[in-house]
Amino acid sequence: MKIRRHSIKQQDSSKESKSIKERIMDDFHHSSDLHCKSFEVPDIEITILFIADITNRKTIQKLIIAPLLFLAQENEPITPFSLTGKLPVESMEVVKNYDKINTYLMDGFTIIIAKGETEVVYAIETCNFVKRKTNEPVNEPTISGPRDGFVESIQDNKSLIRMHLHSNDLVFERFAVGTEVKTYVELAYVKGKASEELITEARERIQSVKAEYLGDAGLLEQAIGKNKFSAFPELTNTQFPLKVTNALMEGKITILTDGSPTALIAPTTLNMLLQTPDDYYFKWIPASLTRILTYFAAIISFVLPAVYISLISFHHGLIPTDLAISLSKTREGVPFPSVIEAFLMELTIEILREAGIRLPKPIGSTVSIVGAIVIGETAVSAGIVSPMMVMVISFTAICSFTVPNYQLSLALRSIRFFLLFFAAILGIYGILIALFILSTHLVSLRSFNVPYMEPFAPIRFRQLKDSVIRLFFRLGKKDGKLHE
Amino acid sequence: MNDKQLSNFPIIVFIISTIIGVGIVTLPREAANVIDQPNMWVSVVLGAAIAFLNGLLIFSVIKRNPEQTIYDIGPNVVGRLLGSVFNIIFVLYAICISAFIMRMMAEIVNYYLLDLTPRLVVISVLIVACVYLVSTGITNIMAFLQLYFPIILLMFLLLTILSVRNIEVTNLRPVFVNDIVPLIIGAKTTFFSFVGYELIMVLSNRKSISGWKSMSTIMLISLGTVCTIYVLFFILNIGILSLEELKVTTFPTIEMAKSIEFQGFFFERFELLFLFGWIITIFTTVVAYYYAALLGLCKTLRCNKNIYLNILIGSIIIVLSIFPDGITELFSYGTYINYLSYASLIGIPFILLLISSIRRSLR
Repeated sequence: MKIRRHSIKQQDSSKESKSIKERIMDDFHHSSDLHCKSFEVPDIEITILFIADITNRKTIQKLIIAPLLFLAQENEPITPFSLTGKLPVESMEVVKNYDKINTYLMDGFTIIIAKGETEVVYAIETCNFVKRKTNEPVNEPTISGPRDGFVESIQDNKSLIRMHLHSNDLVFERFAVGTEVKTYVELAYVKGKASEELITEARERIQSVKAEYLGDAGLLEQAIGKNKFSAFPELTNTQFPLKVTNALMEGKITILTDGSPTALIAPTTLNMLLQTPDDYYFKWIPASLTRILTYFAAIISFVLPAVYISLISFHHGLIPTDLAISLSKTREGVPFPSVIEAFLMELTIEILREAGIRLPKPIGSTVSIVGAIVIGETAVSAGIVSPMMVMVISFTAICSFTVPNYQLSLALRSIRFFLLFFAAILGIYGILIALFILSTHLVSLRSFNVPYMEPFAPIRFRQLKDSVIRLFFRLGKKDGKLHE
Repeated sequence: MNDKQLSNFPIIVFIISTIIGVGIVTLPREAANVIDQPNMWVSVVLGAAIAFLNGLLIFSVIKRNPEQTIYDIGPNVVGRLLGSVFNIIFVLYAICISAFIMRMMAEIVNYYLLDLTPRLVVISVLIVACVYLVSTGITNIMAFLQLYFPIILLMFLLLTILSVRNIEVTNLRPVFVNDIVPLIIGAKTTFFSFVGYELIMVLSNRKSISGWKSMSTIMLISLGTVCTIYVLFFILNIGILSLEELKVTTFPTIEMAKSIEFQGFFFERFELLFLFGWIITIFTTVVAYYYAALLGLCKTLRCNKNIYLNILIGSIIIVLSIFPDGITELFSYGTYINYLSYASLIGIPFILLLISSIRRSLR
């Protein structure tokens, strides 16, 4: 425990002609939750300040006020400096800078102003913020993995990471981000695994954030991302501690934000976004099959409606004759061109999905299921859409649910409309053009200077074994990294 | 695979993607008209051999001027003025060849996929995608090519597997024909379907391809792969369509893909699959030439990557590609482009080699 001795000179405070206590009270605009208690011990006057709702009042009474009053009964001479070590607390810092007092108060510290011949300000940690217990991350359910998920408190999140990763090379760096209101941000990495350039880059990006107030990791993600015009996430966000520790061991960095249950992992590749931790917990053959399925579903989720539209409206000749006949039968009496039909159905299903998210959980799922069935069924029987179209669109929607990362699935949803547009104008040829443009975009994306399509383009043969498929890893071998 | 081969892999992909393009669709007919023998695939191998020899000529130029592109070598060796003329010829060649390919693709797209869409739209849309890709730089172009390379190979493999059972062996007979002269004359035709390897002169500022060994590895692997695919498709074409039909079919390979029938599958006809893969190969070829043209223009005019030049080249290609009236006129322009390719494939490297060796011996 280090205690640096600095005193705020009498002259300093007398300049202002107000006592420190009054200045603090003014700074907080006499807010009702800022509590203040003054009493005298022989020779010095002691003032205690704390914000009531974020501090533990029992601790303050037991460990601060009671010992101080006890000191007053003993007849030892006390000076403002000699208070250190007299109180039974773990750390008791002397505040040298007036501006820091406010920060301490807001972090849940108790401020003690001891006024004798000189005035000394101490800060003691007594914080007691509202906390949630960790529970399973809602967005990332796993079958056999650990059930704990990140919470809003950054201390708890750090403790979760430490719990899963016992390494003395694990480093946390603290930053206070925000021009008006500071939010704590922690940069985590494993020394020796993460490259120095990556760490420096991350540090620079965090420090260069110029936002008034960062309330959530999502805002930070947008503030430190460089691809402003991309729909694809530049950082992976997760609420799953094991995903973070795996990434850290792979040499990636993680950014935690105070007040947010979401951790940001960088650099991110498309491959990474399509993986789930479960892939690693099963044997490699079923895991590989699941991977292939995920990739396939991800591709289907943005290509299928476009392909269907282009086949129906441009290239009927390419569909087998029997199928073509039955398709045209089901489309009989549908008043819209198939493109409008597709847009209508897409729009409906997106609205249903949004409604399902916004509504309270028990109602939400009911609304989306009932809504989908009822609307789909009645739309078909009313002759507005063809049953095949309903099937295609709903299958697409289900495919997009298999994408493990929510932000990626959002990106794929927007790309679906882009492809649909091209398919409506130019058929299969248009889909190809749209795919060219899309892959140019993906190929030129960089997340913290790492190509977004990493193991595929540019090809990295060694990493390919953990991409569309997941081959067995050689545990215990020197080069057999668990998560290469 | 060791590190050196690994660093050459993107270049091999680049060259293969550049070479495979229009040739795979039109070459069988052209060759059938010139050679008129069922074993004309021998000419393909001969064509590849000629291409390799030409590659050696290009290599000796690169070897003498290591870590420079053709656009730097020209002005360095023959002076700024003549060098610029050479560069412009090469740029012109790249632009003309892209325009030719674009038009050919537009014809096929119009014929098989979109019969009502104007050619201008078909071409412009692809050029827009091209402008976008080229503007992101060579690293990303190479990554893009690597992304689509497996898809192209997979498509060719699938098509081969599916069409093998349609082969009628009688069409392939007689296997050994004594008349060798047409095969050698035919090599002149098949050689042009290997055009594309000369773009190694645009990539030659990379350190990894300065040695003879790595250069010949690159050339052997890429020409060998393309040659294998061509020979395979020649045999399939003759075997399925027969020599006589081959001579009168404009786009034989597509017709061959059309003949695949697979009852009880979602797609009954596989020419869609082939066209899908083939348009990818066209795009990769055009992108490579487009990049070559842009780089040449930028180096000659001494400006950095310029979006205006990029769009200018795009519009020149669009104008040139809609210029010919019909497909017959288009094919006749093909022969003019062949003269341009003689100049830039053999003429320019030969002059550069001659002058640089004379200079060296004078010193």
